[in-house]
Amino acid sequence: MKELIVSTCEKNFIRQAVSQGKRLDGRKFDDLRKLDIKYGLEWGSCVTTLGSTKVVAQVSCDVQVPKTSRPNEGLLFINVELSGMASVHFESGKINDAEVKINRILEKCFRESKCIDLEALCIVAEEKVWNVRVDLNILNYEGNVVGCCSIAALAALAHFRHPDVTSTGEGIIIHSEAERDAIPLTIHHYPVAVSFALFDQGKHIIHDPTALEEHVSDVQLVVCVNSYRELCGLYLEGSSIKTVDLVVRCSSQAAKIAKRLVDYVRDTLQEDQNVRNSNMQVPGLVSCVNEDSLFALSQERLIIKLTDRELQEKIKELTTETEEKLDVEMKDCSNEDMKIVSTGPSSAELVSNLDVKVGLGDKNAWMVDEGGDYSSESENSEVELVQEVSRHEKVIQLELSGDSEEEEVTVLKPENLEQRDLSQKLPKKKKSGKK
Amino acid sequence: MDLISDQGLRVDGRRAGELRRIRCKLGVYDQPDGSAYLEQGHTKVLAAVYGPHQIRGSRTKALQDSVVINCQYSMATFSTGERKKRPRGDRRSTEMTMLLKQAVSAVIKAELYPRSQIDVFLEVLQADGGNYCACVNAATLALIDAGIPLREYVVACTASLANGKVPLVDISHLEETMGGPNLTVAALPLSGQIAVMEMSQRFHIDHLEEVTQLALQGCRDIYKILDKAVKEHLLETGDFFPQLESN
Repeated sequence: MKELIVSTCEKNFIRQAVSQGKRLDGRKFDDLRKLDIKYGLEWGSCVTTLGSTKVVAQVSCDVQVPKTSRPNEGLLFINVELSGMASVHFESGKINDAEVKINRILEKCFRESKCIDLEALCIVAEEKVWNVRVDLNILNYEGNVVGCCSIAALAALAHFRHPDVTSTGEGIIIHSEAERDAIPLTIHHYPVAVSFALFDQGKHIIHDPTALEEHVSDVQLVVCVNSYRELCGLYLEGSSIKTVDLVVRCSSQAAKIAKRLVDYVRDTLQEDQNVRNSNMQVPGLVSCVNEDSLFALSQERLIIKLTDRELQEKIKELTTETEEKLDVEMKDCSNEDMKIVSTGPSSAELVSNLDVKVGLGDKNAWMVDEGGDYSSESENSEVELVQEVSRHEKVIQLELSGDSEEEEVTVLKPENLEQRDLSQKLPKKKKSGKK
Repeated sequence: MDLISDQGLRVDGRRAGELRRIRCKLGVYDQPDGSAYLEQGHTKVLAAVYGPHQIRGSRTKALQDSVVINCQYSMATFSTGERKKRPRGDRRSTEMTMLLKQAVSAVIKAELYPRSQIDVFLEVLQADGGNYCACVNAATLALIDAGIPLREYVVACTASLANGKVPLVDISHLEETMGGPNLTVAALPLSGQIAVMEMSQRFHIDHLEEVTQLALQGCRDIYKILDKAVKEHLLETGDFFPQLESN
């Protein structure tokens, strides 16, 4: 397995941000990314999205001979697939440590905590039992994969139904769903894996870490808890920790989070059940792929986000600093430095004569067509250009992240700003001309 | 059958906070640089350490600032009640290997051997609960026997919870199968740091603290036993240790 490579500056940046109580995506330390569960048409299939981590779960079953040590118990098999699809640093085909780790945590979480009544899956003791198999495919690896997998597995198991069986004495008959309703699994309790990343010897505890945060943190802790505050699994990774107290604190925090997650899973299951009961068309998994939006496949280029409050403060800071200079500047550009250029029949453009600063793009040379065919046409038409600007709209660009290529552009509406304009740093002022 | 009787005795006659008998021996083989044999109750483990030596296999694995630690956990096919199909390569032993590596990495002074490799091989001869603990303890002894500088001992111990209230230390296989939860802790007993923590089955969060504390107490008790064995071994092998002779 190739390692995810993180540069030293990036590491330091994240560490420093965390020590100041900030996260790159603007979340608080105990915030969860957006969780979404979509169920498929078949029983026991779902797609779970946690931020940009994505997992597909599918539960299936077949009849098998039980283990000799437990002749009257069904089997539960969990398989996690972490292929090259999930992230570049995984090679498909080979068993890697991350896959084994996730698999074992989930096995402990679901099988060893006995959350599913396996005895109910017995058909004929010592001969035939149901073998329930949970397949988890990780589509996108973006941190807290264990948590996302456990939610997916839980939702899929709770959604799953196996066919009804009758024993005739000599053999068994497996009924199709048309003959008899399929039977849901008996679930004693709902466990979820909650993962934490610890920084600075446990001084800062982050819930639901992204891949980057996971990689940079000192310790990664996964706690499996059910909604009754029972611990079902624990996994500690990274450097060693100083006190037990830390684990205790994390697990009590995990218990609260787990309760919320389990409630969410139950709600989505109930919703799906309602849709099915009301004989409506079940949307299935198609609905989460085929979005009729132009931005269906768009990705955010920048993961760094500031919260609204921070943004407001920043604006205030900038505006107060440069308020005196602003009046002068505004006067300058409002009059003689602008000229109107006709660009075609019944259209004109307001072009600034001021030098446009580098990095914001020069004025559009393609559209300015002085003395071209159009200008002669426009003379003939009834449209007359008037040197009057009736409405002007200021578009202000706030540069918050220096002059890097990925700069955050915030567009503010004039009413938000209370007529206060911004610094000399922001030279791009566009006015829409109206005839 | 209860995990603990009204008289406070466990299935095998121990008290709640009592360990199984530990017997160990350092330097059992000549071929490896360090080796150890450890018995914890009926659980029997052999450990062998090779290294530090040049990187085996591809040189690209070499680390410029620390040592590559290679662990292998394997269970003899005859070690369990039902004969095992293969000694290693399944998920459980891969997980054990990962956890062992984590425990051992926590104590080895890795920065002393850049571009080198240390191999730790463990073989479970008889599995009767607490295999991982026995392996970690045996690995510590083997590393000491190999003369590899360690920060301190790394010692592992299990703990469980009987009848939902009484914490038990050092769980046997029978107690595991009877349905007791199982918390494994690998700790550095002198500094009290926790290197590995792992659990299966379930118990209420409120008990986590006391069960972990008992496991840590178990680690400290095992440390005393191991330390005594190491000192005895050094006296036997004839190395001159004035401060030991004076004791």
